[in-house]
Amino acid sequence: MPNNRPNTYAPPRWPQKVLAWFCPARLYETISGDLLEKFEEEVVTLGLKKAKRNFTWNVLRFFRPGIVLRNKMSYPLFNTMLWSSFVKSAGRNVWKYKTNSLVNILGLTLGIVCTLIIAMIIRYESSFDSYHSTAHNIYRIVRVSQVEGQTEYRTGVVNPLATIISEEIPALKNITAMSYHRNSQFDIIEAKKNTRSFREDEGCAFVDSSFFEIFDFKGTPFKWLAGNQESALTDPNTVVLTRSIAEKYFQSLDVLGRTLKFEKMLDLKVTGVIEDLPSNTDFPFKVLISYATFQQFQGDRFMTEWHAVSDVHQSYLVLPEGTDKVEMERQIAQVHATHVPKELSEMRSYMLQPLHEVHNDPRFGNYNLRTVTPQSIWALGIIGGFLLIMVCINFINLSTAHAITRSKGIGIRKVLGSTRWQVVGQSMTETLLIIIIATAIAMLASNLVLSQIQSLTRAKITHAIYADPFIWICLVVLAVAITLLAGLYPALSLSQYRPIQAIKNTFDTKVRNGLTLREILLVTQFTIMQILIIATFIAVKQMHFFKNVDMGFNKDAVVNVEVPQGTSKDKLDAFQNDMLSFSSIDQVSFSLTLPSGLKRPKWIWEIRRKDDNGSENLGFEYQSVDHNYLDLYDIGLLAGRNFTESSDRDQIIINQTLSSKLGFTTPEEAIDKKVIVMDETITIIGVIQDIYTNSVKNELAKVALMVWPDNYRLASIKLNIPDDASAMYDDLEQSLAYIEQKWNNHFDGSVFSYSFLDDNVQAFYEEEARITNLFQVFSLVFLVIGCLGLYGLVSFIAQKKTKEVAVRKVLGASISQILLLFSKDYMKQIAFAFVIAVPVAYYFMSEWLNGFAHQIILHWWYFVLPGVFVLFTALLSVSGTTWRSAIANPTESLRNE
Amino acid sequence: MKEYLGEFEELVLTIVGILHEEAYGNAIVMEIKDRIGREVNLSAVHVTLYRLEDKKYLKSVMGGVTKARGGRRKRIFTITNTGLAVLRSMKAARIDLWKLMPQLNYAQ
Repeated sequence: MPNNRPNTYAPPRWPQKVLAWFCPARLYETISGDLLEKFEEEVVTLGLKKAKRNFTWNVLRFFRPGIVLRNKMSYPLFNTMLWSSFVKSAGRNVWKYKTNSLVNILGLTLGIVCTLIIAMIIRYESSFDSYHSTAHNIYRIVRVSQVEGQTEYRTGVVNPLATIISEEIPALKNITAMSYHRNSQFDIIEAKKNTRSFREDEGCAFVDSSFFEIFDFKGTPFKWLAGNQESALTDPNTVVLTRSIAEKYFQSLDVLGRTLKFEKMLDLKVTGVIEDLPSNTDFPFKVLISYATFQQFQGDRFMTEWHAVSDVHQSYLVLPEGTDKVEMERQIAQVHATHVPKELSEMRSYMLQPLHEVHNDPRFGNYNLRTVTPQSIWALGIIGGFLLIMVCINFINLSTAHAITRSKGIGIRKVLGSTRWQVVGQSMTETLLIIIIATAIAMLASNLVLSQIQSLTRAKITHAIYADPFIWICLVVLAVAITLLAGLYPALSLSQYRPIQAIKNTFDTKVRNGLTLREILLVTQFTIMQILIIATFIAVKQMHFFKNVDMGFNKDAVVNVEVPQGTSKDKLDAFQNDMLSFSSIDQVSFSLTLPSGLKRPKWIWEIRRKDDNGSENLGFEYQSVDHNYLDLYDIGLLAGRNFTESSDRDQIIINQTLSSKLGFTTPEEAIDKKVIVMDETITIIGVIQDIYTNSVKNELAKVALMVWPDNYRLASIKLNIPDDASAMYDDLEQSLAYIEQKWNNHFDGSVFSYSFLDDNVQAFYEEEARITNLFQVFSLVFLVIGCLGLYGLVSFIAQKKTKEVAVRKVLGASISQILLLFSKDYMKQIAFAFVIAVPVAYYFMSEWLNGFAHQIILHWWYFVLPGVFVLFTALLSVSGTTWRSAIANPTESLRNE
Repeated sequence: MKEYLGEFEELVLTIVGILHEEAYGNAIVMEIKDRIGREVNLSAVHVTLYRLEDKKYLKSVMGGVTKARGGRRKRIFTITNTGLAVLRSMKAARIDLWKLMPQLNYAQ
């Protein structure tokens, strides 16, 4: 059967098609001829299978510049005539349907700007400390303890741990210990007898010489400007400054060998200057004092203290290659067990936390006091995705609605010989044109917007964001994604019509059973919108709750001023008297720390009952106060009495939680009972109501107050709030100026610093507040995009229905009936979307709220109110759009026939 | 001479000259394999042929229809006078250079 032979030996077809596509027509015949000849020959020599494979491979090897680029010279690969016609008619269409294009461009621009900003935030937050060369192998040693049936997650490790485990675990090569200090004072004492003093709220750290070995800041502009990394931080009393600190203190970078005094105690010699550390690090160090200084400072206690821990004293290690995290944790536990009593090693364990979780895990926290949970990153990402879906839906709805106006042009194109793909190409070109315009505007806009919302995003991007290739990749990906998502469906559906139908305009988009695509898309859009708005509403409610919850003490109009450590009682009294002599100052009290607030240092001491020998020690938050404290902060006594001026260290006031944990059934029962604190027997004289010393996100703590004047570090000054609110600001200015002046008189040589208690308490919720604010902004954006889409759609439909409206009016329909006619369908869709949105929003928001110890109750109207709001907004935008056609005189529109 | 030829270009140009009226893609590949035992890829030969044609060292005409090769015509390349001149001058230059090479016998 000779006729069948060529078929059996035919080479595969698809490579030939591919070749025909990319190969210039002039060369196609001879190239394919050569290939076929080779194939025919190889069938004989190598067999069919191998010949086929070689044929395909040889075809693909022709896809090279020397062949493909020849297309231009003879016959263009892309028909330039056709394409220029596409671009031209795309431009014309964009211009002709101005409203439509404007709505599309506005919506797209808004969507792109927001998505871009979200992308930048996500990128910034996930870049924290990711640039160190061994970043994936760096772990923080964290402390996990079982205390009274609860698990405590803390960051601090005891002083000797790092040294001991590096000695006893031979595999461990790289380990570094550090301690962080807030509010440190530095004095620069110069020969000419003038001393300049500086206070650093943040950024003072004790680090050892291996810090920069582990954290090498590779891939950031970090470098050593003076001194060297190996030796700068080895000796005691040495310090390394960052560029900005060196410039601030000495107005120069040439500062090696200069000295500064730390906390009026230690002389430090500058042995190095480094470039400022990048903003995306959780080691926000500015003044780096050698760890040996810390060791010396702690003295004998340093190597023996296995119990007391400070959470700012942390340790990081590089897990050696080939060692398992769990295995290393086991070895550390073994070492720990040999150095401490059994009870301690049983209740406390040291775990390893991967470096990236330092920024992510709110249970532990970091030196920046700011963690971003993966959930909030996800939430942002999802919002970005939703935004894209919203703008694409707008685009699809508008394009398909406009199909009727386009149909004639498409019909003509097809009659004149356009293929379906050319119609698709034409439509896609139009989409691309609109998206390019939107992207260009978005680029200009995001630069402006980003600098405006710095506080909201926290991402420190100040200039030239387009220097970052990431932005360009994002933009291209966004543009392509939107073009495909939004452009493909309308293009395909437009191009499928038969020319005759299209020209006669006989097809109809809505005569179908069930839901039309447009309805599905609208419902999706409304659902997304409502979920986000309900979520935002609930988040705002929770923030409001945080802000206004009764924390058990008065936090308004209180200024906190630090007093130097170890100030004598007489000096404090003199300061107090001076303060009270000023008319705007109401009360003054001295204490160890703030009653609450993010930056409050916590002192945990142990207490047990004296009368009950078997009872265990309980940890409590120790606070040293004076007799004015309860009054000033308006903390109520449940039983017993307040301290008096003559009170001494043998009296203690506890809070309700501590009282019940100590086993007293009523507060009254605790009064005059003896307890043991720090090996001293003291008497409970009062029980106070519970106060939130920590964030309301957490459970109540066990708190006790004692009078230890040696431990006064802080003065709380309560101001009189004037009746006249307008005078308040001036009054505040004056009071602060007065306090500062007197303070400087009394405590010469220290640096004055103050803070407002309510700010400090507010700082607990900063991260949540920031996310909530972002959500508010995005809800608004969603609402605007949704309404834009509705506007575009409805205005088009209203225009199409002019005649119908006129006839209805002639037959006696009222304006409200006409408006209802237009909005009825959308109201139904919004209601339907609401039914879907409520359970989804309920699920996610109750998950979010469950993360807090104290939360608002989700009332039914938290859902209904935002739903009604969306409904009302939509109604307003539909009615606003159709108002003109509703009030139009029917004769006008009918006469136009 | 301004134009330079690459090594592969020179080889293909020479083979076209050798094959005279029989030079087309596959034939050149075979010839190179037979004469100097070098495996070259068909697409590389094609690209080079077109490039040489652009440089006017080669010209081409379509051959007659054959039954083999799916009925597709061959493109027959022939060397132009310019091409020949280039080859000649390259050869002369090569020989001149050889003459400058010290004629040494490296005895064992």
